[in-house]
Amino acid sequence: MKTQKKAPTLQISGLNVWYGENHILKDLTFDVLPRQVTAFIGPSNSGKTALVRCFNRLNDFTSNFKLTGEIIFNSKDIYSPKTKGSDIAKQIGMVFQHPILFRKSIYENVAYGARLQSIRPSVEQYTIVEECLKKAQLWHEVCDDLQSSPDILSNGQKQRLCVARALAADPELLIFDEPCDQLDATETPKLEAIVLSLKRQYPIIFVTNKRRQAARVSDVAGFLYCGELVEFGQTEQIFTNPKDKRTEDYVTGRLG
Amino acid sequence: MMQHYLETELKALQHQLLKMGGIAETMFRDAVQSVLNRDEELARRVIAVDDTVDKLENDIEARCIQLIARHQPVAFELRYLVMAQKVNRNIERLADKCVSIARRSIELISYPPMPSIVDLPSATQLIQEMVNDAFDALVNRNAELAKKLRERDIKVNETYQQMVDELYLLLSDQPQLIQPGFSLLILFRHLERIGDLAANIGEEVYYLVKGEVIRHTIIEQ
Amino acid sequence: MNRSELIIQIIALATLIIACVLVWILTTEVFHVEGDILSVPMDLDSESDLIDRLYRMIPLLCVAMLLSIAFAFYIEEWLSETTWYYRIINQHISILANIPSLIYGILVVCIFLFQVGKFSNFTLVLAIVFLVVPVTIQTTQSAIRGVDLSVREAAYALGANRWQVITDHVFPRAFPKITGGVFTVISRVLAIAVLLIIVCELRTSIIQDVGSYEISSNVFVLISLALLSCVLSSFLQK
Ligand SMILES: Nc1ncnc2c1ncn2[C@@H]1O[C@H](COP(=O)(O)OP(=O)(O)O)[C@@H](O)[C@H]1O
Ligand SMILES: [Mg+2]
Repeated sequence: MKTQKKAPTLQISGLNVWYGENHILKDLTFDVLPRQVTAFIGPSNSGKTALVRCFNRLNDFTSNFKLTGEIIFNSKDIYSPKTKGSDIAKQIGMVFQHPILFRKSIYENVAYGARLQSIRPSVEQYTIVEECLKKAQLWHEVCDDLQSSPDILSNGQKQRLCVARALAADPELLIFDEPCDQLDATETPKLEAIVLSLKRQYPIIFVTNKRRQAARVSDVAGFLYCGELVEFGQTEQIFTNPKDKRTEDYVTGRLG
Repeated sequence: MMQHYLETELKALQHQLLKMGGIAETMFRDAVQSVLNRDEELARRVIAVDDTVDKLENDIEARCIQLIARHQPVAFELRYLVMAQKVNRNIERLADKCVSIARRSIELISYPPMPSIVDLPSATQLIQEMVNDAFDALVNRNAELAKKLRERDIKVNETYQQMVDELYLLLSDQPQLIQPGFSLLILFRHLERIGDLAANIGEEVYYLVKGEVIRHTIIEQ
Repeated sequence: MNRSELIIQIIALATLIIACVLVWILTTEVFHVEGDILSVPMDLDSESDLIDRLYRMIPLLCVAMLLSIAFAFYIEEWLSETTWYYRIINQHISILANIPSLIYGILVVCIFLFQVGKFSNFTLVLAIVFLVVPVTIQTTQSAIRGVDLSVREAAYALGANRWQVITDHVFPRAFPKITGGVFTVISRVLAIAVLLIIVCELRTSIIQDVGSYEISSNVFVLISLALLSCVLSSFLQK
């Protein structure tokens, strides 16, 4: 295996987050590298969602949100006063826990991502939509119903449509926040396969509260517990030889 | 799709196993040749190759652990990974035996040639075929072939006993040959052990395909 | 209800009362001055003149509603919910929107009856503004708040700016509710118009019969009580 020196996509140092009086994230420091899936595991309410929402500045819309520390994304400081929140969000795609679609046709939903990149309806836009739907392994299921409402789709298909839409915005980082929470056993592997196929092109952050899923899809994993990053390391190491007692308890299912 | 992913991983694992098996087979052939042709250089080559096998064993072991930790496999995939680990261990021991044979071979070369009392080529041929078939069974997931190896091992054990008896007779006749005779005895023993290892691999392959443990069960004939 | 909330409500109420007093002074004292453009006296003999004026209020009504909708978007989307001015504005709106339309109508009628012949355009404009604006703002606000937060987040996460989120998602989703609110307002306005027309018809006979008419103090007491209970209800609803 060739180990090229890769510049980290995200460098987080000394990150602290408060929601009002609640200290949600406590002094996190880690790097996210390209061509890897970085997973965050932990019981619910451990701060996983709060963490990933810092990266695309979605927390800006949470009242009483406060942050200290530094997040460098492709050598730009995300929270410097000069950086615009929407510019950061444009470069980071996110798939949420629930499939959230717009009241538009399937085609328009995906094209919306491209439209925000100033790509008007055109052959080019159509190509992008097709390509993104193919990357999200949905093209063959929807290519005949591009103009119908996404309501006809199953939950898993909707979630894959969300992936396609995020891809259409041409992101430089993809975030999945418990994307399989609402999916059944046949849809989950499909989404995992997409994540694995995308990791060559995009750095991926994958939040999940299913340990086995993190073990399957990730290369690097971090265990968050009560806002603390208890352990961060290679997935194999986390799952075969965790250094911290709490990680051991969590991965063996005794905690949370 | 996910199964597909693990499947490719398992294929890669099998590829590595067979590579290791191939090396071990060559080692065996070379070790035997060095005994038959009194070729010291060949024997030393066999000893040198062992490092590669050791490294491969560690790699495969790590890979198995990684796959189990990540995928927590079930059914066939679980059996495969359990089998792979055991076959891995057996191949490594097989390679070790080949090294031991090579060492004995070097010892024997330092003595004048022994009168050829036993049909060593045909005995080794038998074992060689067993090793070959063990890997064939693995590649083709051939449970029958794998199970037959146990019967063939009994044959090898009988041959071994015969060879020891003949050697005993020879040494009682010509006590001055006691030193090379002992080396030869140990060499026979290693050969016999290789037959056991091939049979072990067969048992593991049988477990993989049928999901049944046949080790320590009585062989019906 | 904590202390800061109470202070906010008291400030809101105080400013509201001051505003009312100012409006009262303006209508009764300042624009009473003869020749003022706003207090063009009405030809009382013709009911059709009143209806004519009411028709001419329609464009004003539309503008008032559109501005209210725009203002509602402004305060919901641009002002942070935690700032004191957002809370004061909100309090004002909820007090004003709670006042039954009948009270507005009676106030208009009172001014009308007190100052015979000074039933001015300004009074009508004022009535319409008070009648239309708070309710429109309030229904629009609740329509905007009714849009799922997750939809906004999904759009923001794709890199949409505030303007795109509003035009592409919030407005289309809030639109049905906003239109619903607009119809509520229209029904209120129509009810008042009916009241005015009836009073206008009656007034001729009242003047003929009585010569002049004094409103009994009971009416004032009742109206004051009604207003007070509106204020209380908007306080306690929080
Ligand atoms: N808008 C909010 N205001 C205040 N606290 C919040 C808010 N959202 C989440 N929290 C708190 O932040 C903590 C972390 O939540 P979250 O990041 O959603 O956890 P996870 O995604 O790991 O389940 C929880 O204790 C939760 O109660
Ligand atoms: Mg969460």
